[in-house]
Amino acid sequence: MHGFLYRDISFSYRRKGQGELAVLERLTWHVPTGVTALLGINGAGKSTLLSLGATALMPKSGKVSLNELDSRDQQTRFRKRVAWMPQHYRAVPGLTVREQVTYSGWLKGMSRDDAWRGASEALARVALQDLADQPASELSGGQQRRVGLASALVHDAEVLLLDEPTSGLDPEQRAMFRELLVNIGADRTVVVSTHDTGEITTAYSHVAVLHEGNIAFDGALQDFAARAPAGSERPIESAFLALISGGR
Amino acid sequence: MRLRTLLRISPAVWLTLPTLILSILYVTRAIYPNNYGVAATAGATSSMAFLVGFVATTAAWEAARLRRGGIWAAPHTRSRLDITITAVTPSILLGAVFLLGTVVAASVYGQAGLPEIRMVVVGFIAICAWSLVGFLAGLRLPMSVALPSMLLAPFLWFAFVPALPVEWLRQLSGMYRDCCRIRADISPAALLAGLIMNVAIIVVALYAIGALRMRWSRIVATTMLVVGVVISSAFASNVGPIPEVARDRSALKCGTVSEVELCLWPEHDGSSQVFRPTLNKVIVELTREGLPIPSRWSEELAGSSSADTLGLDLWKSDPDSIRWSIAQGLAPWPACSEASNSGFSGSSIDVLRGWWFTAMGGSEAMLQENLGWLIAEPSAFGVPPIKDLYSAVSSASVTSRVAWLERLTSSAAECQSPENYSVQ
Repeated sequence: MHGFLYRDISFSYRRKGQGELAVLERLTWHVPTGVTALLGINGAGKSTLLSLGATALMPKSGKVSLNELDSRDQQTRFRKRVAWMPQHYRAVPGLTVREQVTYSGWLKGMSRDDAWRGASEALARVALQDLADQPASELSGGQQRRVGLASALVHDAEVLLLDEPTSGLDPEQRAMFRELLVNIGADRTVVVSTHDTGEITTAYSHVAVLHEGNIAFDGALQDFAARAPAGSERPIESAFLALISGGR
Repeated sequence: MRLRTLLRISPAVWLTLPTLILSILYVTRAIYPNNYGVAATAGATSSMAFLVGFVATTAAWEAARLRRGGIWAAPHTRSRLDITITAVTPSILLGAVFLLGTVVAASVYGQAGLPEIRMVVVGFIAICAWSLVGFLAGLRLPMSVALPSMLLAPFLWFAFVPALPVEWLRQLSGMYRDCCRIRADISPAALLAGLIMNVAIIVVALYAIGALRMRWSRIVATTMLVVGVVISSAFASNVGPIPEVARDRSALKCGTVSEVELCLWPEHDGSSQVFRPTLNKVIVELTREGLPIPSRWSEELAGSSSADTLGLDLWKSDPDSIRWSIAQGLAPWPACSEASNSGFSGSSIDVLRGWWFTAMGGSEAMLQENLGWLIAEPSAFGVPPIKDLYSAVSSASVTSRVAWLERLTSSAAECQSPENYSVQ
């Protein structure tokens, strides 16, 4: 099947002395092209799901694929086409913002010169070009998340997996981020995890809800909003609460 | 990373120039006898004992930075091997610069000609091995532990291990500071021991770093460790403390002077060298004086003279030192002196050496330097005032002089002190 696909994914964490904690159970999800909001309560497994998509973790069973590429068997080519911004992004001490983004590009297989050029473009996209020569580790939390975002954008991946990218951003930066989503989501697959339903706007074309180890909803934003009780002031939140409480 | 970035953030780059200066200072304070490239290279590699620590520490620093930046755990397209090599390259270059710097400085300062490349190669591989060990420590240990331990560990390996009673252990490090007299060459077994051990360290470090991702990497690393230790120990245990083997004698350059065959190693044979002209002059003078000298003088047999052959042990390139070396060869310690109950004081040997040295036209200063104790208090050692003795011998007839020489030589050969030193 074409596109970005999680198929029959099971994953559990090993806990010392407490056996295994199952997080995902035979999860199958065909991620649509466009921008998808991945909703879930804290601890639902959103970060785990994105980490599996980025191959930072490997599933116990099942597989992740992008078009013809299997994440396990063709890992290098797969990784080249998938970008991931982890929830806790950390800059390498000593590097400037531009060097940090360039290094991320190099780590994704770009040549040094291409990565250097790509870094300038990526920094412009997240409006960080003025801070390009500042040490990345000395920036504020919100600015560092934008560096992380630029690092994810630098190699022009087909799939972007962004784990809580707006946490720590001020309202202006969030607005800028939504604008960025519209731009980058036009021709690629973007998954943005969040537990803040207030974040979900028309910048997102799809919504997926991860609940109890599986995808409880996967559809267009309008369809999700339509599940909210009539007259809801915050339809996304209402729809989400209705979905997870119905599942209990 | 770009050079500008490295110049700004890499301790390995910052340390390159100071380390180079330090290593050259170290080398120019050492002694490189014989103008021998192999010995000079060996002397240069001894700087590894304190400089490899900087290599390992800077690699540990780099690894710690990558770890703190979350690079190591993230899914990249570049392999860990690629990332590791890129990260340790400045540290390896730091090591390569100081190693080559010391080798070149030792060769130039010691007027030693071409360095021993095999020793440099093994030294470079040892530097690679320690940079990876440092990188591993930086990844696995807290920075406060990794950095000091990486500064110390190479020093213990290179400097403390040679002090252990198991003398061959030092050959595993890849540093060959005890090599080599001019009549010897670096032992291939010692080179192989150092090479295999350091390659084993590289493979095991790469495995522990996680940079070997092939199917059987654990088995390969374990096998490499076991086989590396066993094979390198097997090679080294046959070497002993001095990693040298007899030099190929076909390299000797031989010629004839006044019917004496004179054989020198090529390093001492060049036209710009002082050795052959001085030796030629000495042979001509001694022959003209009618003194009994061996018919073959050779550096190959240094320290083991016989009636027919003089073993030359030339270790300094000034004419006086050359004359003193000849005197030592002409009046060697007899085998009987090694017996614990010989009771042989050896004063007569020193008297003989001093006389030969004087007969060759050696300087007063060198005589004083080597026999000052005997000149100052001859009676304490049962010998007459030796300058007066030498004057008397030199003014005697050739026959008397030769008879005196033969009498002293034969009594010394039997570990006996002569009844008297006077010339008759």
